[in-house]
Order: sequence, then C-alpha cells, then structure tokens
Amino acid sequence: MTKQEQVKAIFIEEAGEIIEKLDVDILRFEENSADFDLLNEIFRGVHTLKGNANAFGFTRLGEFVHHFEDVLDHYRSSKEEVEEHHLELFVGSVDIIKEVMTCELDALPDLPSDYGECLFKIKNLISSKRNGGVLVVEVQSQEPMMIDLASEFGLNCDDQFESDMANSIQIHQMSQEEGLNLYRIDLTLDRDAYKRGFDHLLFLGLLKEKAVSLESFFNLENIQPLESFNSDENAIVHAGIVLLTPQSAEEVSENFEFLFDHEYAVKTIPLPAAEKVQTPLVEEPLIEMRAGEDRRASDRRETGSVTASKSTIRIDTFKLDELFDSVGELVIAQNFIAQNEKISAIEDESISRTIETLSKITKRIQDRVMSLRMVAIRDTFDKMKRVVRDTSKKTGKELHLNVQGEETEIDKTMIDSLSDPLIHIIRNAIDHGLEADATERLAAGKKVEGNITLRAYHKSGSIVISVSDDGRGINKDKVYRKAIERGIISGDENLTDSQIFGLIMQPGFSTADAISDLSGRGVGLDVVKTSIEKLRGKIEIESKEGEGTTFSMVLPLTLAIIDGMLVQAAGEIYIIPTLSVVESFRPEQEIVHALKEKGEFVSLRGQHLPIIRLSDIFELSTQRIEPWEGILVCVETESGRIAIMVDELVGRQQVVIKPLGKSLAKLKEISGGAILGSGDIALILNVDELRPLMEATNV
Amino acid sequence: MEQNTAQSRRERYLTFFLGGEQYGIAIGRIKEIIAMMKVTNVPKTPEYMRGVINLRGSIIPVVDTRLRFGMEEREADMHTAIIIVEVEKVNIGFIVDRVEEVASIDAANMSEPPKFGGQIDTDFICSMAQMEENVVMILDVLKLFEADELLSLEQIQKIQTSEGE
Repeated sequence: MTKQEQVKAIFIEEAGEIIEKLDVDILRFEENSADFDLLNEIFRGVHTLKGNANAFGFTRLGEFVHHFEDVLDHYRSSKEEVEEHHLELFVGSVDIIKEVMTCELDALPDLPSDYGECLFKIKNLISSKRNGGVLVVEVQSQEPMMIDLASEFGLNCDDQFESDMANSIQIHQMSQEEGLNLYRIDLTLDRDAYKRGFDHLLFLGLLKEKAVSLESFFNLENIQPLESFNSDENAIVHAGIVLLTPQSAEEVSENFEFLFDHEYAVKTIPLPAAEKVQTPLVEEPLIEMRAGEDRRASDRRETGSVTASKSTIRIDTFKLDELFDSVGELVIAQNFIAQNEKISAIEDESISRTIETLSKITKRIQDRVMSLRMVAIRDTFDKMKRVVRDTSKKTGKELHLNVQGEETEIDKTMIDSLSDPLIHIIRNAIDHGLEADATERLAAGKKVEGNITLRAYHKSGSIVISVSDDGRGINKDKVYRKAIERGIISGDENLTDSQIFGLIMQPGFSTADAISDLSGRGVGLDVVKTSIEKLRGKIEIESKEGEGTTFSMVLPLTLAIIDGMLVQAAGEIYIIPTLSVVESFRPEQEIVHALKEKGEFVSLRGQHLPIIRLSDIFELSTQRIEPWEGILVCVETESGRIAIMVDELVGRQQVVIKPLGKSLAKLKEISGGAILGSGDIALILNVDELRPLMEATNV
Repeated sequence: MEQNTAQSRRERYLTFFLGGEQYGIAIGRIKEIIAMMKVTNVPKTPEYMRGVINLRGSIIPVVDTRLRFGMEEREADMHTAIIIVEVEKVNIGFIVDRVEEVASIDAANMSEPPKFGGQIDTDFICSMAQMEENVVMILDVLKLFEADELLSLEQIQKIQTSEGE
C-alpha cells in the first residue's frame, strides 16, 4: 500500500465512523430537536466529513455535505428549533450521505436516485432561511459578508491593507507584555484551499485559542459580485494577521503545517524593550464572523474535558489477535511452570511465592487482553434504533423501542456478525410479531403503540441478546400445520412448544407464500439461525399467543476461549465444553442397560440417556471397558441429553480454541483444538454432533 | 513452472529422502524444517493424515508423506523431520525420512515425469531433475494441497494464474 492509499484507507475508515455516528445522532436529534449540543455534534461530524471528502477528491460527497453543513450551521447558530417536517429531510440527508459514500468508494458513476431531490430541498431550505430577515448575515457564506466588513473597514486596496497592517503592528508593539511574542502572519491560500478543507476562519480559530490579542485583515479586491460568486473557491487572495501570543514561532507555524509553503508566512516582529505599561487592548479582536470555525474552536474546548476522559486509540484487530495469541501462549507457559512436578518438588518458599505471583499477573494480563476485545453493545443497539424507525415508518405501525443493557460487553468479532441477524429479527418482530393495525391491538386490549424491547444481559456464562414484542404471539397450531404441509415434520412427532417455535427457523419454512403472520421476505429465519450457530450460539424462542414473542440469541462470552472439562478417553485427552456438561458420575452396574441393536443406555432419575463411546465414534481400537468402570459425563446437546463415556476426568481449564486447519475443519465431531499446559494438543468435542453418529454406528 | 525452456534457469529446491528416493520441493513455499515431534492423532481422517502438532502455539496438520505416496510406514528416527510448507497462509507439515540439502537445479536438467510406473502417484510430480548421478523428483505442492482439499480449488486457481503471469 502506498502512503497515499494508506491515508485514504484511514479516511475511509474515519468517514465510515463519522457516518455511523451521524446516523445515530440524527435519530437522537429527531427525538429531541431542541438539543443543540447534539446538533453541534452532528455539525462537527459533517464538517470533518466535508474536509476529508474534498481532500480525497470525493467531490460529489463533498458537494452534498457542504450544503447540508450550511443548513445545520444555520440552525445551530440561530438556535432556531428545527421544524418537524425538516427533520425528515435531515434524516434523509444522512441516508444520502451514506449512499453517496458507497458510490464514491466503488467509483460508481451514478448517484443515488434521490440525491438531486434531496440536495434541491436542502438548497431551498437554506435560501428560504437566508431570506428570512435578521438571519441573513448569519447564514450567508462568509465571503459576501466579508464584503460588508470590507466596506466597513475600508479595506479595498493593497495599500490600505498594508498600512492597516502596519498600524496594527505598531499598536501591538507599544503594548508589549512580558513573555509574549508578536507575529505577522500572511495567508495567501490557493483557490482550491476550501476543497482541501482549509479556510481562514479555521486558522483564526486555532490561533485564537492561545492568543492574547489577534487582529486580522483581509484583502478583498478579488471578490466577485454575488451573482457570479463561487462559494467553493477561495477568493481572498491575501489575509494578514497580527498576533500577540505567548507561543513560539514554531508553535504558531504548526497551525499551518498542512498548507503548502507558499500559502503562509509567519514573521516575528521584533519588540522594543518591554515596557511594563499595559495599554488596554481590543478585547475581542476577532471580527464577528459567521464562523463555524470560531465556534468550533470554542466547542472543542468545551468538549475537551468530555473527550479527554474517553481517550481512545485505534488498533488493527489483527494486532490484537496476535497479542491475544501470545497471551494464550503465555498462559500455557505459566501453567506449565505451575504444574511442573520438578518445580513443585523444590520446597522453597520464595520460588513458590514467585510462581504464585506469576500466575496472578498472567491471569490479570489475560483478563485485560480479553477485555480489549470486548466492546459495549451500545453501538449495535444504536444502529437498531434506525432499523426500528425505518421499519415502523414502512409498516405504518406506531411503536416504542425499549433498550436495556446497552453497556453489556461482547466480543468485538462477534458484534460484527451480529448486526444482520439482529436486524432480521427486529424487522420480523415489527412486521409480523406486532398486530397488523391499531384496531387489532385495541381489540386485544393493548395500547395502539406497540412495544419492542431490545435487551442484552449475562446469563450463566453466556450473553443473551433478546428482541421482544408485545404482539400477537406465534400461533402454534398454524406453525405445526404449516410444517407438516412443507414436509419439515411428518406429524408423528411429539413436539414441545420450543421445538414447534423452532420450526419457523427451519430452512424452507418461511418461503414467499408462508402464512402471513410469520412470513419472511425472501431470506428466512434459517439464515439467522445459521449465522448465530456460526458464532457458537443458539436461538431460543418464547411466545405466548396474544401476549408477544421473544427471540433470544444466546452467545458465548468470547469466541476465543472456552471453559473446558478435560477428560481422558481411548488414550487421548479430549475437551468437553463445560457449558454443556450437566453432571458426571460413575454409574452403578444396575442402571446401565444394553439394548440389542440400539446400544447402551443409562437410567438416570427416570431418564434414559444413550451412552456414547468415543472409541466407537472415532473408530479407535482400544480395550473395551464396561461403563461402570469408567465415568459418564452427561451433556446437554441440541437433540437431548447424552452420556459420554470417558476413562477419567482430568480437570477443568480455560482453553484457547485454535482451529485445526482447513483440512480438518470438515470433522464435525471436533470443533477445534487447544494447547494444554504440557504443550500437548487436546481436541475439543462438538457434543451436538456426537449423537447422530452413534445412531449411525448402531443402526 | 516452465519446463524445458531453452534458456537455462536455475531454481533452488529443498531435497529430501523417502526410502531410497530423492524428492525436491521448490524452496519458495517452505517455511521451516523442524525435528519430529509429538503428533496428536485426529480421529476419522485418512491414515496418511497423521494428526496435528503444536508449532509454537499454532496447531498445524501433518501429513505422513510416506503413507501419502503409498509407501510402507516407518518408525521415526533421529533423521525424521517435518517440513512446514505454507500456501496461502495455510501451513501443513510433511513428515519425511531425511532432509538432504538445498540444491540449485538448472531448468535445462529438468524433464517431464514418466507417465507410468514408479512407486508413487505421478500426479504430484511436476518434473524429474538430473542431479549428478541421482534423479530428483520435483513435487508439485499445490497438487498435494489440492488433492487433500487443504485449499479450496478457487484459491489454487488464483495462485496458478498469478504464477502464470
């Protein structure tokens, strides 16, 4: 990647983040359009985006954002509350920005269909506001205003400009305070400076932050009349700034480091012997500007404290994964030392204490590194607000979204693959879960406004994300009939409620002409199910007719580490995920039954659990022992409980899951490998796949 | 890989022995050579798939090259080595009897492999090279990966096209 491409990649990433944030903010703003802090926030985002877009030649994006920014700026500076019908335009604009961004990225020649329309509306809005009387000065772009100022200050020719500069310098020279420096700065920005994201006000704002006194002069002789004025181009060929500041010349120059060398000159004005006389200075030397930039600078200071408390650093997830791997190895090495018999044979207090300390530190590092990958689910939920809003508009259903547990942390890699299933479930809940219209809800004795609840919480070592609606619930009979019709079930089965609800996630169930209250839109819930299963999670559905439905996605805390039970069977060590282990016991001979052709069973509190022998499944030739000589580990699987027969329980340990490599990924019975303290590899059993295999071997 | 071209091109190959025969693999794909280590058996895999090893924290599958080529199994000894080959970020270990040397072989000394006979499946041999009095069979690693579905076909085609340029 060239430097240029790298910078561009950073821009694209940043722009993506800004747009994502805009998306969320604009919705919050829609709820509370009097929140001017939020409006400022949005404005800042849009402003940054404009600068970036133009700097990278995304002119279509830049153009649109530029006008949008004008509108926003109008409202934020006038403190006028945004009219409701314009809010819709705002939300629409953010959509356009999103789409244009995609167009720019893919270098598509076509713009989104409503680009023109939306831009027109925005322009209209600006012009209507501008002609609205008092506000004119505030919203007009800065240059025409400068003309007014120009005539006021009489700065129309170069001579005048120079003499005014000289005067100002003289005044400032006289009024020297100790420890301050006087500079003359000449800005001769190129015509395309705005497109690169710079304008004079930006620099005035930056300089003002540290300045004691600042006076600026503009040479405005090249300004075109308003009719032919192009606000995208810089028309101020020369601006002079007289600056009195404690900063050094380098510090002052730093403000301009992104400009071309010919565009600025910072000159230190020598001071006469410092006089202690303090002449009162012009208190607010900045000309009153419309000044997005000016306020931006002050806003930045205001928000400074807020952002400082949440300073972040951007890290490539690849690096994080590497770090994670290394920590995994560290844990293994530490375990090795802690478990080494030779070392533990040394009965020396200082050594055992050191090992103790080492293990504590290792644990702490592990926890810290783990937490690096964890992010609050808030962002994902925020995105869902948008989905809820859109779906609500589309379906015309009034609804209220409740969000709980936004601060719940979840593995970053998981979050990315969670959005789509979540969107799907939410749409499903609104479209099909909630009653079709208000009358139906009223008839059911509910409020017109539907409720959708988005929840995230921890539950026994897993994370649960649930979407609930208070709609009509799933009609079990209908589902059952439909499933028979579709040939998913034969009708002989005795299904529990949750098994029946589970049917709606079967492939082939939610095709186009499926029953109206459950139908999907092409992509069925089976896709949701598969993507959640890929994350080693599962979906649970609860529903009560007339009261609503809850879809819960139960996910592991992290993708990389599981709590495992180490067992020895057929000469090797295997790992059973502790999550699925119910209990383990050595059976009495009386409770073990062998049925001809059906395999072995163990009766446990009235349940008959099939006994699974790993040596059978894996076709290993080992000495056959009787179940009562070994230990049965009872595990919960998708298709019911089974008892896995092992020789011995070795222990319980947190293990880092490592893939076995593509060639072995086809082995369904094994979900991966883990490296033990000894450096040996143990295979992790995928208990859900053990049962069918046993049936196959025994039939 | 162009064979029998008029101009002489020298390529470097790692040569190793399986039984009495000498084989070579283009050095570009070889990541490292390690001594034989404990291999954890993975059930329900072809016999030649010996299992997985722990290579400094990563789990890598290893193939017993002898069994892969239909030769007799042999006890590991002090010369037994595992050659780690990397293709498209997929690492595979190949267990061989003895690693010999890195040899430069002139393209002019290469010839088409015979279409019949020989102790091993000739599909995996992309050419035969004359090296002093020995004949070295140059293995096509991609074919080995492909046959074992270690890489998807798509990936292999991608590699081949990029190499064909």
